[in-house]
Amino acid sequence: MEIAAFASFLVLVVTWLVLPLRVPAALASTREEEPVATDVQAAPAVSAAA
Amino acid sequence: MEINAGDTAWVLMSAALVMLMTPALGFFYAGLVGKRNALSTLTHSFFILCLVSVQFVLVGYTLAFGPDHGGLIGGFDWAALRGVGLGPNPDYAPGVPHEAYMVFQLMFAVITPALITGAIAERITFKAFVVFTLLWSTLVYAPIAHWVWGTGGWLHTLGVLDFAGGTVVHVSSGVSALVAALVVGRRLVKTEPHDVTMTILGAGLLWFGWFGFNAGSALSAGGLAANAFVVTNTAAAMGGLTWLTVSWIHRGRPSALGAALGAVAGLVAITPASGYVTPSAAIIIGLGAGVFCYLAVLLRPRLRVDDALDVWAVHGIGGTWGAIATGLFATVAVNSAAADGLFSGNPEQLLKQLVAVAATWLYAGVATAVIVKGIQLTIGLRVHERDEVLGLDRSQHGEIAYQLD
Repeated sequence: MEIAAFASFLVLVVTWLVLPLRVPAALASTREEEPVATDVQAAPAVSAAA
Repeated sequence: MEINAGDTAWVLMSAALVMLMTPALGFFYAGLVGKRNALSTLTHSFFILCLVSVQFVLVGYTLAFGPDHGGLIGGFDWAALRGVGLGPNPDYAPGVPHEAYMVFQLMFAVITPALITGAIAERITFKAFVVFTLLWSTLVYAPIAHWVWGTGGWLHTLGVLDFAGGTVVHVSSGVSALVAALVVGRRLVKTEPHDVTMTILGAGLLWFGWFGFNAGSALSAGGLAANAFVVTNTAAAMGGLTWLTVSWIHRGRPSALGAALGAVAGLVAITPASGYVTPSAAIIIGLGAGVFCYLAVLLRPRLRVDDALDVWAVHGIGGTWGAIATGLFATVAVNSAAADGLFSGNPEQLLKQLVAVAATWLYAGVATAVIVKGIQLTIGLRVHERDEVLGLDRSQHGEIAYQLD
């Protein structure tokens, strides 16, 4: 029983190491977050220019 | 007979832990439905906590645990808890007040019908849900609880092992969920989970409460409770790891939702076995839960049943696997008052477990079909099409879950 328990856990760990990640490109994109970051950083610069 | 203070404290604390599981289940389910049905789904669980708390005190406890009638049902001797006093009941829990044992069992009776609501979410009327819950708790849960746990119950007498409710709670609710979803019919609009963070929070709280569910079922604060605690945590973890891995192999990415569902599947499967198996066996049981329940989720659409939140796949199949696994892995080295399973040289125990599983599938399935069909033919089951599209939060409760616009 103990050997089966060890083996099953080991199989899972090895599987994680060899499996590729296939996240859809649309979900992996950072495009949604970029405008927010740009706005926050841009605000002081605009004030300074004025 | 003396009351043990430590045991009583543990059983009462465990009852409180199990109580938390029902609102936790509400969050688990609410995250999985569309945002227009989040509140109604949460309300199903919360309302059941109120409804069955009263039903169980009045009739549920006496039917499930009262003096036996033919091995099938308890009598009305303890209706409204008449005779259920502050002293211990030697048949059920010799070291704790009978009322403490009753309230611990009450919390099990509460969460079981709440599990079914995931299958019929997003289209059932509130009135039909209330009638169904009352009838199901009285006519399905109470008899099965008596068969397995009641003194004189026929499966109890047969020697079936079900430490914390694999058949009584999970097989009964899972099979009933499938049947109820079949009769209620498909949703008009199939929604995506609207808040996976809510679901993972619910899963975490369920896991926490499950320590009371399983370790509390020892009914004493000792070694048996400690073992049940350890195997519960181990199987939950292994279920989460396995489901995540299988979904990664199948869909190409490790799903956060998959880890949560797998943990719940592991918890379901270890429930009947938690007082009888070793931690190593719990790893195998959790592994099996992750694989079998994931495959059941894939199979379910082929059955052409809209079990909205896969209650059958997780609880019906997970509970069935757990009950069978108990017959495989049970050992008197963990619980000397129980029996060995197949791998400890007692194949007869596996047969007993199969009898319990078959009886529960059959009775829960047929009785639920009769109840749901009866409601359909009298007060109706489904909301109007317009109300279903509008969402049950508005159409049934006149409230909405979110005001973010």
